[in-house]
Amino acid sequence: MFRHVYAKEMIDAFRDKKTLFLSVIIPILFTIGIGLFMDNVLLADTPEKPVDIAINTTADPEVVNWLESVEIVNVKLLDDPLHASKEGDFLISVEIDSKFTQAVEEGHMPVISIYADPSSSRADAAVNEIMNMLTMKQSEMVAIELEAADLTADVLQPFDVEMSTLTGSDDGLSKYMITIIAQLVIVIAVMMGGLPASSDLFAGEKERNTMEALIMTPVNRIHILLGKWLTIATLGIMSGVFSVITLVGFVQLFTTNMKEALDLSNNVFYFTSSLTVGIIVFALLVSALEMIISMVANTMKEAQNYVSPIIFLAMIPYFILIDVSPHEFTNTYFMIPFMNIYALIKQLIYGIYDLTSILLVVGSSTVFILIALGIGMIMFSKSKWVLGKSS
Amino acid sequence: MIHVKDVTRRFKDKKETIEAVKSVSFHINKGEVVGLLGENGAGKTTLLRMISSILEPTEGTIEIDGQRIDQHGMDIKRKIGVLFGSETGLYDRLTARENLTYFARLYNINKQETKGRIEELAKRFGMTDYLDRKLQGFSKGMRQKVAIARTLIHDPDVILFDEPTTGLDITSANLFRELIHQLSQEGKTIIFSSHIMEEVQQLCESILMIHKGELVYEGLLEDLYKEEETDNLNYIFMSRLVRGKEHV
Repeated sequence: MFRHVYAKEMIDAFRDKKTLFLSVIIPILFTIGIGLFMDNVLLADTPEKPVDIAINTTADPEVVNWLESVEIVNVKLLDDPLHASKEGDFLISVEIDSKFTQAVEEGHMPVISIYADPSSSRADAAVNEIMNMLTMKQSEMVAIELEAADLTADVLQPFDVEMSTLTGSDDGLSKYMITIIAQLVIVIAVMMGGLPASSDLFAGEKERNTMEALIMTPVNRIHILLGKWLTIATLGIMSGVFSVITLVGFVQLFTTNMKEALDLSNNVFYFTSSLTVGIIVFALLVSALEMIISMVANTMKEAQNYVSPIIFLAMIPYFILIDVSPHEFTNTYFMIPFMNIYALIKQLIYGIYDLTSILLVVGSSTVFILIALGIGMIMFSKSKWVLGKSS
Repeated sequence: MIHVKDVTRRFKDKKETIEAVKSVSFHINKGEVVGLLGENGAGKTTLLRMISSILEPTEGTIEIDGQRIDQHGMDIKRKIGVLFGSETGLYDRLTARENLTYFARLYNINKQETKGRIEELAKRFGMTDYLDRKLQGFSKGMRQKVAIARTLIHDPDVILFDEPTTGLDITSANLFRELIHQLSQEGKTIIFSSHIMEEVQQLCESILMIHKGELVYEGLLEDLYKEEETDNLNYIFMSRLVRGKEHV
């Protein structure tokens, strides 16, 4: 009988513009938005537009020339550059001795003081460029000194160090970025996708008194519960799948840095099937929890209020795993609900296809789904939770 | 047909226990139309919810057609149609036909029978023109007709109406009263709760009067008029409430 309930709820949900908006449109827009931000801002080699830097008017003109040679900065001379920066007029200010060149020649080791806004990625990128330029100038000066002393630069660098990533490619940061985007986008999409339906199908039905008519029918309440739960889960799965399709499509078509990092050409089947399984079990668990929350609430508004903290709680494992390498994951990571989906996504993006991990995710999630469903069934058998305040 | 024996329903709040229905007993014969009278909060809805098996009594038993509700809940649900309020239990994003079809499915009525039943009810209530329109935007009267059709979709023997004319305009309320009259002629057993005395006088042979969860009168209206030597039901109702449970 639950298929009748499921079929009706799906039709009802698809006719609800709010459900469609949250299950389809929002995941797509969210994925595109966050992807564009990551690719163009955080992973950009250089800032989009030059950064103004303030330098004291008394600065040695030779050093000012050096700074002007850095492409991504615009030099402005001011009497008190540090004050201007603190006032928020500049992201970077630089103080340079008026007799900097002379001090260098006399061996006094003069100082160039750079002050930068630590919260700005543009400032960070510009400071990196300035530091590279200054390091090069330091090396040139040292080379001249060494040459005068009949020595070569090798004296200062007796051996080389080669740094490579474990993945063998030079796309560590991009891969890391894709991982944190994918984890966030997929988990949020699954949770948000089922949210309107969950609050509508229990709290909403109580509020509109349709639940009363429903439980008056000779249908076992377990069937009603299962039909509604599967509706919420289906919408969560749909939303999750949409977000994955959008993410992969967007990365492949519209990004430069992340595209190279997300190479699925050899592993499309494993990646897709493992991620689909992960999304399905996660959606089944999330929908069971959303269903319980909705049963506790008496109105849709109340249900939405109760869900908000749960979404924040779901973010905790995300932040715990943000700096953990997929190679460090133990079985425990795949057995803890919510943490397991983040761990699985990370593993898959890093190209690690481990059947044990997937089985642990499915197994542990199934246990928690059954527990949540059991609680849901007990609650749904009590008029207090089914009919709300009026009972 | 309906036998209610010593039924009590208590609700536990955080601080106190509220007794919404207190040891109520009555019997209703097949084909009777019974008015359930009481003020707001008297326990009418709780009593109807228990008869319709939505709520379990804390104490006592309810039998319908010889079957106890707590033992044959599913069988009894097939025999009962319930309408709480005048237009509830409907899904706004579905059409009137989809609403009716959905409930027919839940009552396990096959497709062919459902189709025929919907056409019959649509004709009976004059809903044919808007049967395939979504309920969003329906007037109160239109919604009421769909809600009644939903209540009758499985052709129940027992029909419970809780304050069915509340909020309806005069035309819709009159149509509803006409319907109860028709259903009565078809041999349906009907309980409908109301606080409109004229409505009860017009439609019922018997009444149940409930006050603060206690039954203060059960019997024929005619007998009540004789006992009180007046047919002013408003007056009788008020005086019974004052006197309490002496006639039960």
